[in-house]
Amino acid sequence: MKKSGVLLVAAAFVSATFLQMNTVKKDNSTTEDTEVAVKIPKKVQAVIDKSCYGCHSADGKSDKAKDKLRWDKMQEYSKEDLVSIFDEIIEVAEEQEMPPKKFLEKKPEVKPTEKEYAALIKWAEKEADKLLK
Amino acid sequence: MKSLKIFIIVIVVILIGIQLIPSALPKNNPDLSKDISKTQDVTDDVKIILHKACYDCHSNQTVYPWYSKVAPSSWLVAKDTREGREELNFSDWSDLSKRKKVKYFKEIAELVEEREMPMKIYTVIHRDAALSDEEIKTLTDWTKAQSNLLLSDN
Ligand code: HEC
Ligand code: HEC
Repeated sequence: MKKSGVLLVAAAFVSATFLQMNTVKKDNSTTEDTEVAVKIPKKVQAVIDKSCYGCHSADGKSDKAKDKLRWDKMQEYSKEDLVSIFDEIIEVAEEQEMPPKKFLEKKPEVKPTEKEYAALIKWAEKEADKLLK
Repeated sequence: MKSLKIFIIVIVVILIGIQLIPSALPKNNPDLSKDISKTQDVTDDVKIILHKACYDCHSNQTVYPWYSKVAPSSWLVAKDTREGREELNFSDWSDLSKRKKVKYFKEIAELVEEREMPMKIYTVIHRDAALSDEEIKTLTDWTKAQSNLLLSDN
C-alpha cells in the first residue's frame, strides 16, 4: 500500500516535469514569434472582420483561400512570408479583387468602401516596410 | 483520291496563309543596366540556371528558335514570352521595390520546387532546362539567401 503510494507520487512528479518542459518549449516559440509581431489597428481589424475573415481563417471553406492567407495565423508566418502576403493584400485591395466578385453578388454589404480599401492598403504597406527595415 | 488532293491543297494554303498573320514576338533589348545581376549577387552556377531555364521567357534577352518564326508555333512562343515577361522580368529587376523582390524570390522558389517553372512545354524542346534536384536546391538556397539579405539590410 505504502509502496504504491510512493510510486504514484513519483509518477506524478515525473509527468509534471514533462508537462513543464512542454510549456517551456511553447513559451520559447512564442517569444520568437513576437519578434515579427503584426499589429492590426481596430479600424483595419473591423474591415478584415467584415470582409475577409470568414474565408481566410480556420473556419473558411476554401483550402485555396486558407493556403494563401490566414488572418488567425498572422503571428506565425515568417518575415519572408509576411512581406509576400502584405504585397498580395495590397495588390488585391488595389484591384479590388477581394472579396471575390461571385461572393459579393450574394453579399454586397461586405464589400469594403473606397476608404476601407485605402486603409487596408496603407496598413499593409506600413507593416511590410517595418519588416524591410 | 480527288478529295484527298483538295484536302492537302487546302491545308497547304492555310499553312501559308497563317504565315501572313503577325505573331508579334516581343522585342529583345540588349540593355543590361537593370538586370538582376547588377543589384543581386548572382553566383555563376545560379546565372547558368537562370539563363538556360528562365531567360527565354523572363528577360529581354530571348533566344528565339527557328520554330518561333513559323506560325502557328510562333504564336505560342509569342504568348509565353509576352506573359512571362509581364509576370517577371529579370532584365527590369532594379525597378522592383524591396517588397516585390522578396515576394518574387519566394515565388521563384515555390514554383521551381513544385516543378511548375520552367513551363513543361518548354522543357520538352529545351531538355537542359529541365532542372535536376541539385540545380533546384542551388536555386532555392540562393533565393532564400537573397531574400534574407533584403530582410536584414538597413
Ligand atoms: C468568399 C471567400 C473570400 C473572401 C470573403 C475573401 N477572400 Fe481572399 N481569397 C479567397 C479565395 C478562394 C482565394 C484563392 C484564389 C485563387 O488562388 O485563385 C483568395 C486569395 C486571396 C489572396 C491571395 C491572392 C493571390 O493572388 O495569391 C489574398 C491576398 C486575399 N485573398 C486577400 C483577401 C482580403 C484582403 C479579403 C478581404 C478584403 C479577402 N481576401 C476576402 C476567398 C475569399
Ligand atoms: C516557356 C516560357 C517560360 C519559361 C522557360 C519560364 N517561365 Fe515562368 N512564367 C511563364 C509564364 C507564361 C508565366 C505567367 C503565367 C503563369 O503563371 O503560368 C510565368 C510566371 C512565372 C512566375 C510568376 C508567377 C505568379 O503567379 O506571379 C514566376 C515567379 C516564374 N514564372 C518563374 C520562373 C522561373 C524561376 C523560371 C526558370 C527556372 C521560369 N519561370 C521559366 C513562362 C515561362
